[in-house]
Amino acid sequence: MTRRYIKVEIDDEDVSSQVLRCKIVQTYGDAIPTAELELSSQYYEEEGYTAPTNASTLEIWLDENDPPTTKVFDGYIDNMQPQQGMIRISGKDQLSLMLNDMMNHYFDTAEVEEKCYPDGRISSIFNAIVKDYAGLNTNTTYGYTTSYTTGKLVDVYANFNDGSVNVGDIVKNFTVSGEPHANVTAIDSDTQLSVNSNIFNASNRYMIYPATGQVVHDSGTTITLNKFDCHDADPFERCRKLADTLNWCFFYKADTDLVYFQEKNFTTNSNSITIGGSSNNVMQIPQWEYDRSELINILKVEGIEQQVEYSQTFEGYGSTTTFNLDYEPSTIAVYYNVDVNFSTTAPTFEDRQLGNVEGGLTEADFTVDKKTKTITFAVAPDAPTTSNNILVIYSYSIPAQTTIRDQTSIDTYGNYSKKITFTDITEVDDITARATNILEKYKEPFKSATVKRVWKASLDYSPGQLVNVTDNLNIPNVDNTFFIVKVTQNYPDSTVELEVGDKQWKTDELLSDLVERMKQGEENDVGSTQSTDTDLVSETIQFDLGLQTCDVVLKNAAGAVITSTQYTSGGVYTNRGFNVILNRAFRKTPDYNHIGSFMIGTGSTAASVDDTSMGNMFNGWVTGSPLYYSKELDSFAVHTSNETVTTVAHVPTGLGTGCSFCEYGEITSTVGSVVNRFVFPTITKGDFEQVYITTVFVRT
Amino acid sequence: MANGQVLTKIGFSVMMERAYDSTPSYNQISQFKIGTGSTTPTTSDTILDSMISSWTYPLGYEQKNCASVGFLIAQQKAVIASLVAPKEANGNTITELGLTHCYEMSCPDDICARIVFTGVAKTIDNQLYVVLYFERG
Repeated sequence: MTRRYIKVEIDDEDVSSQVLRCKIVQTYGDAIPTAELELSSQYYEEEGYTAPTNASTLEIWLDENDPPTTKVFDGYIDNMQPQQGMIRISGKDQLSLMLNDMMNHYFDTAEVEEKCYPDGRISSIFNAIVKDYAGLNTNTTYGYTTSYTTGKLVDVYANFNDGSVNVGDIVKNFTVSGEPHANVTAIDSDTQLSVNSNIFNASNRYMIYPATGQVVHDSGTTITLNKFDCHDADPFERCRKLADTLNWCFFYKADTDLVYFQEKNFTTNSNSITIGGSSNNVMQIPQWEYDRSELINILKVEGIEQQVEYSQTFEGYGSTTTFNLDYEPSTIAVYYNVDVNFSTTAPTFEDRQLGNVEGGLTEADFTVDKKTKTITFAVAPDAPTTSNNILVIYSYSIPAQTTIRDQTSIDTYGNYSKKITFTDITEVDDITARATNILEKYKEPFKSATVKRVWKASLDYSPGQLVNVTDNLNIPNVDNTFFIVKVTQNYPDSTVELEVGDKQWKTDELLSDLVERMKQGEENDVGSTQSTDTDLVSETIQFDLGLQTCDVVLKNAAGAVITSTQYTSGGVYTNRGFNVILNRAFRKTPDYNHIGSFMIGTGSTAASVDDTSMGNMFNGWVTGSPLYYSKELDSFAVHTSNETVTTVAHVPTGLGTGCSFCEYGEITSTVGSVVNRFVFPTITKGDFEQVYITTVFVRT
Repeated sequence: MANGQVLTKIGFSVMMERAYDSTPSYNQISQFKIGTGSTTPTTSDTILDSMISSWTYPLGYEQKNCASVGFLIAQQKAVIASLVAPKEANGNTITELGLTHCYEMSCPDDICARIVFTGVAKTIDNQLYVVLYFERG
C-alpha cells in the first residue's frame, strides 16, 4: 500500500503538521464539495499560528510525494469548532462562491450582446454565469463576430484582455460548415484577435479554448434555451439547472483552478476496479443495490405532431348545412361562392366565411365541430351554378410513434412498460433508433454500490467520470461501466471511496425527455419559442346619447303648422336602448329587432334611463285588425359628422283621434320596452289634425 | 401622441344605422386591424395611423375576426376581444388596433373604434390579446 502525504494551508500558512484527520468529498455538481479537517489545537498554540477564522482560505494537497504536489481542494473555511485539544474545521471549495451573491440577468438569444446569441447554446450561458457572476474561471470563451476584418476575429462585446484568452489558443467557427478552426496569434485589443487562418466573417458564432482542450464543452444546438431568467438567483442553482437540462455535470478542480462543464460520460477513468481474484484492489466487498423501479422492456415513443395541410370541396344543395371532413381540423378556412368552382378558381377574400367553434360567442357563417369532424353552415349554401362551390382548407395533426419491446427482459422480469414523448423528433425512423437506445439501457435493473479502493499514485478519480467495475465475488457477478457519483478521500487512510451507479449516466436519453418538459415549463415562465406569453391590453370606451332637440309640431289636415315647439330636455336614452345599440352593433344576428316603432301615452313621470316601459301607454290607438299599440317611425337619419341620430314619428289624422298626450317612446317591435322616452307638455290633437315628433339624439 | 381609445364618428354612425335600420347597410363590427402608429386617437379617425398589412396567419390578410363578443346586459356593456396569435404580425411592435365593420380588403374609412397602447413587440413567443369594453358613460 502506498503511503500518502498531505499538505494543508490555511490563509497560506502551512499547518500540515497539525493535521490529525482529513476527509474530502467531491461531487459532480449536485452539491458543493467539502473538506473536513481535524487539527491539533495544542500544537497550534505552541507554534503561535493565528487561529483560523470563518473567512480563512483552505488549500489541501494530497499524493505520494513529500511534500505532496497534487492540489485536491481549494476553498474557504465554512465552519470551525474548537474543542479540547482539537479544532474541527469544515470547508467548501471554490464553487461555494457561486452561492455568495445573487445574480440578476436575463439571457435572451434575441440580444446580440448576449453570450448565448443567437442560437441559445446552454454551454455559453453556463460559461457566462461562471465567469461573469461567480467570479470563477473557465478556459473557454463563447461569442459572436460583429464585423469582418481579414485574418481577424472581431467582437465588440468581448473582452479578450481579461486573461481568459491566450496566444496559441484555438478558435472554432460554429457557423461555417465543418466548424473550421484556427489559432490565436495576437490579442490586438479587448475586441479583436489576430488568427492564423481567415476563417471568420461577420455574424459567426465562435468558441475559444486552449490547445489542451476546453473545460466547458460545447453543448451544441440540439437542446437550447432561447431565454433563461436569472432573477434574484444564485449562480450555483442556475448552473445546476443548466446541467440538469442537458443531464451534464459540472465541478471545480483545485489543480487547474477551473470549473468544468461536460457530459457525464465524457471521460472513462482507466483505473478499473476489481473485486476478488488476483487483481483485487478494494478493501472490502461492496453491497450492490438492484433497482427495478425504472425498468423498461416495453417502450412506446411518440414524436412531435406534424401538421398536414389538406383541402376538400363540397357542393351546396340549398338544404344541406352540415358537411363531413376527412380529418379533425386544427386550423380551418372555409370559402363559399355559389358561382365559383374552387377546384379551378382560387378563392378570394370576399368568399371567405366567418367561422367559429361549436358553442362560441361570435356570430358566424359556419361552426366547426372537431369531435364529429364536421362544419355546419348557419344557412344552407345554395346549389351551385357550377360544381365545387364550397372550399375547406384545413390542417390536421398526426403524431409519429412506435413501440418496441425486449423479450428477454420481459421473460426475466415481466412486463415493464412506459410511454415517453420527444418533441424534437418527427420521423418514425429516428424514433425507432432512439427508442432502441433507451431500451438497451433500461431493460436491466439499475445497479449501484460504494467501493473502497486501495489508493495508489495517479488514480485521479473524479466525479462525472466513468469507471469499469468487475465484481467476481458477488452473485450475480458484475462487469459493467459505472458513473462516479461521489469521490471521498480519507487521510490518513490510504483509500479512496467511490459511490458508483449506472443509472446516472444511462438515463441520459430518458431524462432528456423529462428535462425537456422541465425546460419547456421553465421557458413558459420566461417566454420562448416553445411556449406563449400573452400580452393583454384592456381598455374601456365610453359614450352616451343625450337629447339634443325634440320638435313637437301640430298640423292641420292640409299640413299647415298650427303649433310648433322645440324642447331640449325631457328625453333620455334608456339602458335597454343602450343594450340594443351595442347588441346590434356587434352581432351579425342581433338579439333585438331594429328600433322602428314608437308609442305615445299620457304618463308624466320624468323620463329616466331605468325606464323600461311607457308611463301610461295608449292602448290600441293605431286602428287596424288587430289594434296596435305602436306605429312605425316615418324615417330615421344618421349624421356622421354631427354624431346625431334623428327620427321622425307621425301621428296622422284619423289615428289617436281626439286624444291628448304628453309622452313618447321608441321601441324595437310592435310593443315592448322603450329604448328612449320623452315627456313633454300635453298636446291635444283634434280629429283632423296630425302631429310630427322629431327627436334628435346626439352622442355625448 | 398618447395612448387612448375612442369610438370614432364612423363607429357611432355604424352603431346607429344598425340600431335603426331593419336591413343595415353596414356589417356588424367584428373584425380588427392592427398597426404601429401612435397618434392620439380622435373621434375623427377613419383609418389606422400606420396599418400593418398581410399579418394574419396563414392567409396573410390585413384584418381578422375578433375572437369573441359578449354582453353584460345589466351593466350596458359589450366586451370585444381581439387576438393576434403567435404566428401573426411577428417582427412588429404593435401600438394600435382598430375595429372595423368592413370585411373587404383595403376598405376606406372603416375604423369604428381605435385604441393606441404601449407597444407590444410581437414575436412567435407571444400573443396579443386586446379586450375592449364599450359602456355607457
